[in-house]
Amino acid sequence: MRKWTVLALSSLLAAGAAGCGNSTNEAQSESAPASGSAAASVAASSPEATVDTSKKLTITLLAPSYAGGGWQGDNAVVQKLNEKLNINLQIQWVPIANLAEKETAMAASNSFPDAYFVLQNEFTKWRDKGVFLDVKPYLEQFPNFTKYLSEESLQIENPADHYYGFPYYIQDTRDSLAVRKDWLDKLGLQAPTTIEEFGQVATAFATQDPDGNGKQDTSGFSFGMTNGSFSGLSPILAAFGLGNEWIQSGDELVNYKTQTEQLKPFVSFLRELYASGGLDKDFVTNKNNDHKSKFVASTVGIAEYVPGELFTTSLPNLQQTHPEARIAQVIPPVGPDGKQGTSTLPMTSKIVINNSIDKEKQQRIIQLLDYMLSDEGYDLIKNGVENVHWKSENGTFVKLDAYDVDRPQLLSTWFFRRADPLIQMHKWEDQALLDQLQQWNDNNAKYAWPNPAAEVVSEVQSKLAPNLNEKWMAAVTKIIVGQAPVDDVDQAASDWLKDGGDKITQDINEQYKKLHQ
Amino acid sequence: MNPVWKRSWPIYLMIFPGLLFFIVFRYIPMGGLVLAFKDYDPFSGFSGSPWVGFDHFHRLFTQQDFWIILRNTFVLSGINLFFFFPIPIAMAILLNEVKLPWVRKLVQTTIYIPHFVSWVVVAGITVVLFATQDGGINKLLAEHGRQRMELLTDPSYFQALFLTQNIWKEMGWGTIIFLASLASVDPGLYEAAYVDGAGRWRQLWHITLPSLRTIVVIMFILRLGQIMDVGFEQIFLLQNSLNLSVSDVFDTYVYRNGVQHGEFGFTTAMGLFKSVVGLVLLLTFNRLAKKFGEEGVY
Repeated sequence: MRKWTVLALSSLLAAGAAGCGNSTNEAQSESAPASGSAAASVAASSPEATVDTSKKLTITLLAPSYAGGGWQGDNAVVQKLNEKLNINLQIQWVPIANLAEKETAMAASNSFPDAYFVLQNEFTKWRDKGVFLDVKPYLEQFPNFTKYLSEESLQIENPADHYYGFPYYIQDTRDSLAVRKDWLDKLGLQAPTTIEEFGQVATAFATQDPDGNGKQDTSGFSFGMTNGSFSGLSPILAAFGLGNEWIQSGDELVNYKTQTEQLKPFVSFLRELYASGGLDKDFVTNKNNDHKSKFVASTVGIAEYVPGELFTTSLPNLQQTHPEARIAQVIPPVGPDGKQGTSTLPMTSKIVINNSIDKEKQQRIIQLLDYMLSDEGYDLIKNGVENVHWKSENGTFVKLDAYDVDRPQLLSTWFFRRADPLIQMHKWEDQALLDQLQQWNDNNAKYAWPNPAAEVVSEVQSKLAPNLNEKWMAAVTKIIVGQAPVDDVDQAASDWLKDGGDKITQDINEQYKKLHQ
Repeated sequence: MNPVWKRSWPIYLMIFPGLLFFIVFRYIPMGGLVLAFKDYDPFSGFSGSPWVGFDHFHRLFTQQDFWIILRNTFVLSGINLFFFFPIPIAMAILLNEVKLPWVRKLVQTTIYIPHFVSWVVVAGITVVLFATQDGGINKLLAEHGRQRMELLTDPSYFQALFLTQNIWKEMGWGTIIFLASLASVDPGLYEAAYVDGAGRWRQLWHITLPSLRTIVVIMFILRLGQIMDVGFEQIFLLQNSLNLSVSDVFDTYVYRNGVQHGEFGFTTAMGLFKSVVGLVLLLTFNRLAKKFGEEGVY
């Protein structure tokens, strides 16, 4: 009853806000062409000194947060940005799992912040509704955007002549499976190279007491399940020839949930591992990142990681409680038919600017984002403030303790950054570590496993998929834990198609063809 | 001035803030129900969105998920009604019989502290205790060479888990209202019964229980009005893809489709349906209660 009332109330408020908002929107669109030409004419004269920063403006910004949460209170980086650009920056951090939900509620009440981070689904859903500022006219005046972000990445999900936001750079083959090297050594095993070896190693980790405490309290590997899809399982899916959500089959795109021929050996593999203990018995209750927490807690021996995060955060944490811990990369294991692939991410998230705020503010936000990509600004959001978070000593850089407490890098890792594969590596980092990360990156880059339909957006899909995927996942999970026979994969796939998956597939194929004409 | 009005205006003045609260936060929001008949698009606004008539309801009643969700909701509500509801009453009677005041106070305080623990923490404790690999109970079982139990993922344990959590968290809090009504029983009745030679059981049967009857009936009717609300947080936190078949209820479905995917119209229709069912049940049972000579809620 109360939940319902809240929903109704917020809707009502939305109505009121929308009613008030309309007139300003119209005013905005009328003035838009004028602003474009003004910007262009100014750009012709001198690019740097165009923005008048004499007035102190408050800018609200919404950024996603991950493990550890966002900044609490005033961060030195924010102070520095405020001083530099004469702004009062107010950042709201929203856990990534609730981002879409939060922004949907903001949409319902028409209360978006001045600049914010949006995921693909929301970006495409709202792109043509006039809520995001077209930033293309500003690119000439602010050269850092095209200098440090590729033109292709700016074009993603955008029509040809309007860019309704900046891309959040992501390295496509970033994630990698990591294995406990010290456990392998203790049991006299090698890092697995095939799916079969992967299963053997995982089972050995569960049954042969790799941590030597005399208890059976470890398991081989784990992964998560969020909103009806797997997380941290890509190399295994790829090895069995399954698609990264969609796969080209003849002329058509097919969803991996219906690739029954490939799904059966995949599910059987996980089922055997579950029975042997090689697969974490609690994987069903894992949320997004629980497999990583278990790796850090030393209860799981293999997990998929962002290597930069692993080297700089998780491994040091693991070594605090288990000083003997060492890690090694698992090259994507080779499947039964010789297939290999690594988690491959599309660059589909955007940083957008509110279209209904006044022009002066919009320009100051663009200036802020541009500054964040400049040499000086990027150094600030990546490494922090000199003599607070780091200092230079005889030509080398040294990290200060405040860096770990303040975490000044959050804006660059979670909100906006250059196209920089070594985003998590700071200027004081050991060369050996940089080399190691580069090595992991290079190894992974060979095994890209892209989703052909990553850029395709289908309204049919966003309407039907949540429940369908949840049901499919439930059916497959039942098979993995041994509550249902492997052949039920056929039933799960045909149910998915019958209940609306066929409509999704049809729409995705249509949109895909439109996009690639 | 009307003499009645003159005499009682301070009372009306005192009612006013409460009345205002209900108007602003309970009645005005009901306007939002219009969404159930519209294809709501936040950017077109409340009035700009097109009317769709009963389309949302048609979609709701024709999809097969609906019956599963309805069944799950009723089953979990039923469990609450028949197994959880009597427990605070029993607890209140037991506490009432305790003659040492400090023992009664201590027990009472101890059992209602969990009410102030948030569901997130309760879910955390549940996982720590019941997880298959790392859970305390299963670690104990494994150490004694027993089979591990999949308490969190096996759908057949879900309802028991749901009930246990509820009892642990809300039992103590639920006793408060019954204890209060027991405290108002005239001690003279017990004394008279004692003089007439009634033992503890007779006193319980003829004095304690009858004096609780009215409040029990009222609480029961109020609970019926909320039969479609089974507690979003608790279920959402217990839910996983293996127990979805028994744990998916209206609240979690609305969350997934409405809050996460912005289908405001469809999920408002769902909310309206829930409220109508609750209202019908409340009215029916209130009338029944009156027929049997009870006071009812209004």
